[in-house]
Amino acid sequence: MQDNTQERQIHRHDNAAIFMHWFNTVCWMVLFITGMGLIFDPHVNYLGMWLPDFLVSVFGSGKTVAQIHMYTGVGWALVFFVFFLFRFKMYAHFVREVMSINPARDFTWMVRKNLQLLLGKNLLKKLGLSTEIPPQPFYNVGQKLFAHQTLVSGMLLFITGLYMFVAVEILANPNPEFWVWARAIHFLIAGLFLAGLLVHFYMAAISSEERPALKSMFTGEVSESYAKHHHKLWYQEVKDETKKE
Amino acid sequence: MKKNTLSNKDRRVFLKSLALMPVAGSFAGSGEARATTGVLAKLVDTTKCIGALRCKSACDSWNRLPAERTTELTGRTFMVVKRISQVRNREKISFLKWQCQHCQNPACARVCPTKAIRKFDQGAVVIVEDKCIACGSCHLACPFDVPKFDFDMGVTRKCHLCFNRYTGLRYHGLKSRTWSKPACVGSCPVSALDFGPREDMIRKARARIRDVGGYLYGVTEAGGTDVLTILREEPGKMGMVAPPAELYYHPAHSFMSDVAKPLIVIALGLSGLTVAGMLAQEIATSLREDSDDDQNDDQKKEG
Repeated sequence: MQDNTQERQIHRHDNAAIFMHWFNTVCWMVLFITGMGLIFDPHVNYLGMWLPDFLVSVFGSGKTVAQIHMYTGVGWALVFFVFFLFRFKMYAHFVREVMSINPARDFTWMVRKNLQLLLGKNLLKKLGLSTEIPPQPFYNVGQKLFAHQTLVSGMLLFITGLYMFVAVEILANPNPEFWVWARAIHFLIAGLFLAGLLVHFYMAAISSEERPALKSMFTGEVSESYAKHHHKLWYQEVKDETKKE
Repeated sequence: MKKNTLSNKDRRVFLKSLALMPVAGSFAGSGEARATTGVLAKLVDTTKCIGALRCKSACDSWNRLPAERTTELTGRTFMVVKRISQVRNREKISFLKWQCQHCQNPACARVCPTKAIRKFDQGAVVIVEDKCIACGSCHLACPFDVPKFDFDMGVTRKCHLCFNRYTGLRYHGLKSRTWSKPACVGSCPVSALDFGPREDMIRKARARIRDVGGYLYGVTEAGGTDVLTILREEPGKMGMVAPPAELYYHPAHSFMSDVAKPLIVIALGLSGLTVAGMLAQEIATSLREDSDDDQNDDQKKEG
């Protein structure tokens, strides 16, 4: 494990995927901060009123914050669709991997991995529980679940957000009845997505076990031992392919 | 023309009010702050009104609105005069001057996604049109169905209680004064309108009701409003829909505060706890490994 630099590296992420990941990161951060800065009702804003107050004092008015939010969202969606058209294979691969579900294996993984993460291997050994974890394909179950949430949330946020944008900025005479519901759904989905992102952020940026995964989001490569340990099924797939060649 | 000095002075008023009240309540104003400045209210006496419509002309003129002939509020008609009594009772025909009621705790200001609506300490509820994105949230929140779109300007507009006639603040290129009453008030030929400290207006209205009878609309409706109306009879009998005494919110807004927010807080709490648990486990593991490493090092040294 210590000779990571010497070890053979396996290609895991395309440059396009890496760009999209960091593009999402920046856009979603801007969108989340400005989005929460648009909830001026203290009974609704779960972060407190300091954020909207701060943003209004920085940008002068809520309208500016709203426009930053809307145009960032629309810009994000545009880039996303350009990528979707020109890098269709990348998305097809992503969706195929994300949808490959094996209930028995996945359930065992969920239970054992969560216990391991929360209790630690030593305690599990003392309790006489297995520390063995089912081998995983390109994404493990946790990643897949978060991906499902991302896909569904992304679509709902896009639909409601685009509706609100078009209604307000282009049509100028929206049906307020639709608009407020779109806003309420947008708010709920974004909040739940934040809860998922919190775990994703911890796993990627703080957990030392997943440090190679964070590195691979810059270099696109992971070490052989990491691939073998974390994504055994994928590792074998890659091995078989290289053998054939 | 577009340049206005509202924002600067507004900020001063806002900062002053910040000092007096908790931040959370600052957008709506609170009792404490108003006690120091005094709330001004408009009194509409439908028992005197003869339906001359001078107030409508004065309003259109001061606010540079086209004189639309309508009995419903629009984005370019800030006030209307409606005939509200039944025709068969000829002696009791009464006209209702209807406009924004300037709630003391305005629901429109609470739901506005751009904080474009402000409750002034003097009582006026004002849409800062520069900040309005015309989403229509306030239309649904308003218990009186007052805010309406001005489709040409692409914003929501409504009566602003002519706050620019007595505060000296400018409002979107309109003239400003420091000494006047709202445009409609001075124009009334039969003195059916009055404007002054809210307590005085209530006292006056009660005195009038003692004389001619009637009902004072606006003391408790929608949590109290800064436009008070003397009606001949109960609002229901006058063909008016009585708004609830409590503030009403659109189901979508109640959904945000009562369903979405708790769900999000629970989800965030769960994921926060998970992360905290994993972090604690990680720190514990790394500490144990460190001490293991130290022991190993010691052993090596000894060896």
